[in-house]
Amino acid sequence: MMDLEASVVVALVGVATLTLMFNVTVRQPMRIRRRLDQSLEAFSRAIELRFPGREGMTHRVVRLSQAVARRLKLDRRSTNQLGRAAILSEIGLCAVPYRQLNERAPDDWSEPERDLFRRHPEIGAAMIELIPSLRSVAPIVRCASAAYNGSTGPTFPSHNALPLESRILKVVTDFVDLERQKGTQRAIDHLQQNVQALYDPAVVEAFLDTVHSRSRKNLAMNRLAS
Amino acid sequence: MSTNTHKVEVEAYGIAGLAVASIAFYAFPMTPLYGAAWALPVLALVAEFIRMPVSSNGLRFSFPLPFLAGLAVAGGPFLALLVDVVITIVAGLVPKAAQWRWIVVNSSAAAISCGGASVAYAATSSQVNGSVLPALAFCVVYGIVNYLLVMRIESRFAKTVVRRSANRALGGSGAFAERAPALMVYGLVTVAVAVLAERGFYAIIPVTLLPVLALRASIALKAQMYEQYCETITGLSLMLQRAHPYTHGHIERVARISEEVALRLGLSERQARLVREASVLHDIGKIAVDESILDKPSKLNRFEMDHVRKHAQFGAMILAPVEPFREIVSWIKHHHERPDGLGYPSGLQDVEIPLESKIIAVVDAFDAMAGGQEPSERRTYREPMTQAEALQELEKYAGTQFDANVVKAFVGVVTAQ
Repeated sequence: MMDLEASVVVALVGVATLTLMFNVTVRQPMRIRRRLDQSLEAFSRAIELRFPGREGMTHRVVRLSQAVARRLKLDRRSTNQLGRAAILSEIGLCAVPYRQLNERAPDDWSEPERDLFRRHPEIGAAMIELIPSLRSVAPIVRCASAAYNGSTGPTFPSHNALPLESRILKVVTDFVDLERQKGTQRAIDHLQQNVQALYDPAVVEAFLDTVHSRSRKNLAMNRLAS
Repeated sequence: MSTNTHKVEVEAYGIAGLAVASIAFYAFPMTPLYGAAWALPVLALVAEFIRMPVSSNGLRFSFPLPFLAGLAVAGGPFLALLVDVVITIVAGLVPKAAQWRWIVVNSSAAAISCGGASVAYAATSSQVNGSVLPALAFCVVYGIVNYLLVMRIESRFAKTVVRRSANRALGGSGAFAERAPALMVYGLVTVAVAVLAERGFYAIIPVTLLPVLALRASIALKAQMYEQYCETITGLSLMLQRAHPYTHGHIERVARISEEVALRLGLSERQARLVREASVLHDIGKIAVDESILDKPSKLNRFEMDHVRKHAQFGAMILAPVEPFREIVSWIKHHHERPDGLGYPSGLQDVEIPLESKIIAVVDAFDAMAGGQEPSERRTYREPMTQAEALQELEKYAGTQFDANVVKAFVGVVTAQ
């Protein structure tokens, strides 16, 4: 039977152990995730300050990509990775000249400028490879602008060897870019016209379902409000 | 350091370790262990093997101290010393690239740490009843001696594998307040094992491996958070270097010298480290600046100057979302302020400007004037000055554009190099 001194010491160790275990299983991992999100926010903010015309685009790409991922039944881990990749796929834009994106329309770009813009995810992936905790996202980012038929971007032996997350990012990023320049309908038309060539058909279908169901939801909410 | 000097030092450690062990053998009678008490050396060995790497130069933490304290109680301080030396040797033999000199150094450090702790244990035991205070004395003295030894070994034998007790990790340089909870838990577990050993509750002692494992996991997660913080700095720096390639060498130089100036001005090691990190990021706002304006070879017009000056605020905006950077955000925002109030972005007066911003301002200006000797790093709008010319400029504007004390400290650092 333990005496009082031993019981007190053992009880204190018990409390300390429970606190430590709570820290290790809940609090610290949550802090790590939060800090990672904050770091990604800093990267995103840097790009938005460099190219103010893109403000809000990254967050829209993240939300839409993750919505498409859920519709395609990706697991939570892959959906989170996709969100990170969506932000990190933009960091390569810091290699694009300031005036190219801020002062000139894409239609006025030269071929080398277009090529540099297309390759910005690969540039971003090369940077991410140097950051150990983000390295796992690099393959997704590298292929974020790859065409489904392999005509642009890194080559793959078959369509489905291209990471699904990259195929989702390609659809969503192009849509958001075009939507800002030319409006929603023309952006949708572009996706539909380039299915199989540029975009995975299954991803385009899931994307359009997502966008339409959001439109229907917004319409219903507006009706309720009025 | 030459190989011969290394050899002499290793031999000195070996001799010191043997001497301490011999004295302990005669000074502290050993009580044999029976039955479940053998759990203690086994647990000490397990704790030695759950060590974790904490730095790129091979430093590792291990956690045998609670069980060594238990051994001091159960079998005498010399037994604790003997077990500490044996588990260190065993752990040192395991890696394929085991080197005998490091086994000698590490086991000697273990013997010396445990020897000192044994003296403290024996002295306290003779004064008080019970095992709580003697165990605490053992723990504290072991920690201090081990810390001092490892600091010395680290400084003499950089980039080699050195075992160090978790006490170093838990103490270390930097804010003591951050590490105090972990130190307390470690001390508490040590006391618990000693108390249980004194009362013969050996069957319960293995359960204390649980808080040790949890502590190890907590330290590992803290290290991961710190790595993540460093990686954010790396990521942002990479982005800046892609946008403005000339900045790479500039950042490295400013960071290194800023830290030294901070130390010379009496800032703590932790604060100096933060100044270094702020210096790496001080120009991060230039990601959002038109590089064709930054690289313009001729004088900038008013609009262009205003655009470039926004980089200080942009830097603060980029870093603001990240919690660990919140302390340095204002230093970066104000690194172009001037004591005479004519700086930007806020036109702060002398006393309002953070000292850290003043340090970055001086070092940044010096490097802008004299740094960039490589052609790829040259500013397009002027040729670099010599160091002497740049120092003269700093001294000319000390008190107006630059803080006079910071300039003085900076001159001291540069002339000492």
